[in-house]
Amino acid sequence: MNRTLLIVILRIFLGVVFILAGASKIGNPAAFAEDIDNYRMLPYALVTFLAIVLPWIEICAGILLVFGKFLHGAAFTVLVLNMVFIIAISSALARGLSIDCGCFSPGTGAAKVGVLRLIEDFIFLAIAVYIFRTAHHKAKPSKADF
Amino acid sequence: MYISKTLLQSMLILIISAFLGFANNYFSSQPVKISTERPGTPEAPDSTFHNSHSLNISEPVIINKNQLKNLIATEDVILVDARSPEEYAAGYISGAINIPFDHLGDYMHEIDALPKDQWLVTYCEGPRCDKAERLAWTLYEIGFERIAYYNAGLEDWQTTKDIEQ
Repeated sequence: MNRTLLIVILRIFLGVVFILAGASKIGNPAAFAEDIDNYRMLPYALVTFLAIVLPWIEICAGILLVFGKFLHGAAFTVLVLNMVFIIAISSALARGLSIDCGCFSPGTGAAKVGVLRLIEDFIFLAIAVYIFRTAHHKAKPSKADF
Repeated sequence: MYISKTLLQSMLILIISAFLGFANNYFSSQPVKISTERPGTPEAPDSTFHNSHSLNISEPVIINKNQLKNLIATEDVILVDARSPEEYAAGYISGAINIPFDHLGDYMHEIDALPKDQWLVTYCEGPRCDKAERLAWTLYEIGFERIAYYNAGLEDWQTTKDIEQ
């Protein structure tokens, strides 16, 4: 397959996944805060901040990936988010927590933390790394790049 | 240069997201209250545990230390430690049996043998552990009629020095 086409497909796929993930959370910040808090990893002040901001980071980064704008920042953001998700889910699994992962539609019990969620996030991480590296290599040194 | 560009774009995404997020939360029907304190879970009133034989079957309630002490003193209470066998072996509330929430399937015989019409109180480490609450709800769904969970848990009870090891 044409490499450029592959990258376009991958970034649209990843972008749509993140837009949907973010959109499913913005309707109920309180339920999402509860899902984050169930991980028992963060002080409550940070839980509330994340519950408010994280869905919109997912949406913004997702839209930028779909439209291929600000690819460095968008891919890097998604990359960091997935690393954070992987750490959180691994930690929850290691502690034997049986909680909603909060990945999609918080408060509905749509998905529990589990190995499947972890594999999913590793795949998204790999795609984000690939997009980030490609954007990095494609960019020619130019002072007017941003 | 690429690093600074990446960080600059990421910061911009973060700032715009923060703006949109706080605006959305402000107008949301189910907003998060920005606070450093976790919203407190209401405890059941003392009257819940008095004359409880006349009480209708109700959903699991939260019990505090004094209520639990009074209940143990006045009624036959099944006290259930929801933590792992290893944690249980290291110390548990006097009289408690162990039903680890994470291995519930292995303990179905023990659960079936318990009387369903007595007060059953679950606990785990403390308010930051959710096994007691989840076990309470699971047992409620199985058919136990009077369930409370001691949310403050072992951490709170330890102040009474009534721990068996």
